[in-house]
Amino acid sequence: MTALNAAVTVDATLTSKLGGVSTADLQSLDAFLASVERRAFRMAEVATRDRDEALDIVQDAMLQLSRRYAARPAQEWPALFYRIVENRIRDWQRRQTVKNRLFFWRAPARDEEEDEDPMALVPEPGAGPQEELQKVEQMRRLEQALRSLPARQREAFELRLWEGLSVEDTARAMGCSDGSVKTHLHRALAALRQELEGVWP
Amino acid sequence: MNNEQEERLEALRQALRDSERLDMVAAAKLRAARARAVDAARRPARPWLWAVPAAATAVLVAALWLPGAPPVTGPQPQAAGTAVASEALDVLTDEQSPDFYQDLELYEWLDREAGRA
Repeated sequence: MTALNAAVTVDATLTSKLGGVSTADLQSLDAFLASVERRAFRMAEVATRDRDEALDIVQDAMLQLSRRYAARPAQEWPALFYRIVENRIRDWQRRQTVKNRLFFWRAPARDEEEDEDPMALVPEPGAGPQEELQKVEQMRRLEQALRSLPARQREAFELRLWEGLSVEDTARAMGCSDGSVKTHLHRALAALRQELEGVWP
Repeated sequence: MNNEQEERLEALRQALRDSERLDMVAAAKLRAARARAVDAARRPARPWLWAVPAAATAVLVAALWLPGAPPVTGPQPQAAGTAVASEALDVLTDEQSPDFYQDLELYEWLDREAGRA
């Protein structure tokens, strides 16, 4: 038995005894988080329109997943992770609602165009300025339309269409039945079609 | 869902995925957050650790607020009522018989006499 095999065996024995996570699991966890962090960050940013808040939400979700569910099978991680992310986004929205009610005289009406990320305006290499402007405008309208959706419809759209989770995993992430996911998604698509008419081909 | 709708959805998905490009600062912050999260998984959480400071705080609060607790800021003159109540409590909790307290003055006199001798 090589030293590496021995180390892996000892590690596996220890982790099974301690209920912890093996080195291989940690590497898988790192790879999983790397694969979802940017998308989750963008989802949170679209919902909050605030990069710092979005970063806090994703950080918190990664930490929660690692602390509580790292020992669970890796196939369960996507649903668990997005469930945490969506819960954090909903918590943030609730806090904002309360804050806006309490300090209504201080809450300025936010201008959608003012909140644009300047990086989004940097043209992509190869695209003409006209085409690039059109893309920026399309994305702005899409984000605006996503924000205007009811929370459950937005979640169904983001998890099923954007992230590409299966109906079952989307249902697990949203804590509802497969049928509810389909209903929310159908309504979300109908609302988006109406909202984005003339903007998206 | 027809082909046209599918194409439209695919265009939306592609646009959203293209928007996941991040600037270096945000990407670095996410990397650091991921490293912290993976590190947290390595060290299992110990919720019982919170019990130690919580218990210490509870003991401190009890010591400050329970009746009869020693004063925190040095000796204070004891009120007469409190002294009487304290004496009564001693008598009630003592194992001596009530006769002992009736003859207490006699015992004190005997004690003084023995000291003089």
